[in-house]
Amino acid sequence: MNSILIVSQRIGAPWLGFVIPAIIFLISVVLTFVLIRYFSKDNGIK
Amino acid sequence: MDTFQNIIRFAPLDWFWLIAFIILMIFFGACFYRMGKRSESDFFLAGRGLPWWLPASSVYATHTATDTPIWVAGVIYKYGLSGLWYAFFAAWCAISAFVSTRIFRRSLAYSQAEWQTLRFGGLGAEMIRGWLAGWQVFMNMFILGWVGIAMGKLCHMIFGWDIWIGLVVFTGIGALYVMMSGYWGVVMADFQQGVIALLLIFIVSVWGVIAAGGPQEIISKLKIYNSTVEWKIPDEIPTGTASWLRIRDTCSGEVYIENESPVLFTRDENDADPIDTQHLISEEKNHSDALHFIYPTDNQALQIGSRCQLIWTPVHKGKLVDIEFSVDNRQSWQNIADHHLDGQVWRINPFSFTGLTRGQFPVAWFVTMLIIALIGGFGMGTSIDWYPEAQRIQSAKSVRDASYSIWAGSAAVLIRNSVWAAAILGFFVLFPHLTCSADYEMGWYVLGFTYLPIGLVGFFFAGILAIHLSTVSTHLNLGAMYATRDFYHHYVKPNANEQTLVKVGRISTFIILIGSFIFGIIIGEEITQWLIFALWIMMAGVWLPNILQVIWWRFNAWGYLSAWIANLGLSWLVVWVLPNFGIIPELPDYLQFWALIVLNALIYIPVTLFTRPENINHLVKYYVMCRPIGFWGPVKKEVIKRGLLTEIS
Repeated sequence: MNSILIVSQRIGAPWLGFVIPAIIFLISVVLTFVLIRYFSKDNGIK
Repeated sequence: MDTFQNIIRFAPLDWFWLIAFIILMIFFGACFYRMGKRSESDFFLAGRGLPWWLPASSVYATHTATDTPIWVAGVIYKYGLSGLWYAFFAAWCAISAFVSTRIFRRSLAYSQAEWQTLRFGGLGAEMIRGWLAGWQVFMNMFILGWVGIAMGKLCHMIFGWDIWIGLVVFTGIGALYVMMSGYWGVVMADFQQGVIALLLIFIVSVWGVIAAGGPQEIISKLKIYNSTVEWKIPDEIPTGTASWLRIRDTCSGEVYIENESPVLFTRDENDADPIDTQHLISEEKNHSDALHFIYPTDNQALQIGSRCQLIWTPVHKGKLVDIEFSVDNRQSWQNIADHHLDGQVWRINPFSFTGLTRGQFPVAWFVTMLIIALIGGFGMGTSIDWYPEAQRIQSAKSVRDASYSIWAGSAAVLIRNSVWAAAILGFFVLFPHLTCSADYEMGWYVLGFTYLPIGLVGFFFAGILAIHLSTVSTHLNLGAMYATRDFYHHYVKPNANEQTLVKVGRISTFIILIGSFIFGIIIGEEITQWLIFALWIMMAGVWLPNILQVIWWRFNAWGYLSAWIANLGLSWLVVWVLPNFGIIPELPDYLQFWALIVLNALIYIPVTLFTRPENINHLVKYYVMCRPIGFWGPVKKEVIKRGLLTEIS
């Protein structure tokens, strides 16, 4: 079996590593609070 | 797996995103603590009030686990796009969404086990309920152990941790919010984790395709790469044996290639010729007009018991060929594989059949998969996926929401597979020489950790955690539901109050968690084989009874129970015992499926017909509640006669 050493060969600009997770994190946070608010209200929880 | 020795280190930005996402996921799951603790219905079904898109995302998230890209990568790497059909059985949901899902939702049963007592009556129904509840508790522990081991393997690859650490730590994190919030936490976190996972899968797969040069480049390379087939050299060949190889047309028998001097077999790894097959497969300079073997060539030494790639020049004739070897100076030939003659271009054809019943992708196997997908939706429990789906169905606020949720969630699952397939084709183009499944199964993960920029690597692992948590949370809560509702609430303390039931639910969750660790650690690396046996073969014999119980009024509890008992014995006989004693040959999986269908039917059909039908009052009550489709004539007549339903002409 060949042993292959995988060296990072990063593709893409470095700022993508901040921007893409940040966008997804923001979407997740917004969804989180919207859903908590909606379902808490719908279920009579303050 | 040690083929890929990853030297990637997490940068501070990677750790930042990883920790941020972990906190967000746990926080969101735990937020629904006050709702989850209110009642058994809240803890296990979120109060039955969910709009369709929440159970739909939970269906998708549950069926995307850490092992999923591993086995999808395995089948796509080995079989090309035709490997997608391995996952096509999930399409049973397309029919089920409009048939069995609606029937089940109308029943208001918490679980499949409970539904059995609505469908059947008497002692037989109670026995089925007890059996299914016990089996589901066991299976959920088993699946959790499997998924946990997959996470353990991944953490071993990335961080070098012992496998048990990845198994224990991350499943334990999931158990935190499941014990707090129950199904409310599960389904809400699944939605969040499903969104993260979906985006992650797209991002990493796109990155992998770009790393391989883009879609056009992948197709171009597949067209020019040399032809290969994997060969597991038999263990029993004596060292020093000479072997001839040939390739001949499956239909006409015409011999296309035969090496003039033999290759040699050796047991000593040091005597075997080391070859860089990666370049042999990809380098165009090996092409010529004449068909010939590139590897192994004459007098090369191959190690007995090893896996190697046979490589030959590509010629685009569209032929299927038999690849054979001879160890008796060409007096007789043994089959290596039935395969495609021309290059690697067959990998982009999802219908690249290798014969009616032969080769790696026979028509008979494909037809079996189609039947399972199309007919299976008429039943309940025809696939192991039914059991978590059933919980999602009952958590939907209406029959229509249940229907849409199953359809949409499964559609997302099938689309997801296609995205992975594109990435794995790219992975193949980069590493076409891999013969060890443990190596190429990790392909999608290797793409992500190799090619993503700093920051996205951390997010990638966070996404993997999301994938993992969404699956473990489902199976923790599902197993606990069977233990609580179908054991404790039904048999031990029927008049337990809601707080007690929630408490028992939490304790059950913890017990299942510990059980999964034990399963995972004891069975370890062999768990995949056992799980495939449990999910596929042990379900095969009850596939048809799971449909009959929905569509045929006459099928009774004793018929169904006898099907389960018979299948347990028959599956061991057909898969292990009889082939080991040479009484039947080792059958391909689709033939095992049909054999078990037929053998099992020989037992449960007579049992059904020789025992009494279910009580008509019981059947009438069930029919009015669930309105099943199929062969329910006598019951329907009785229902109309009693004025419970009006005939609509």
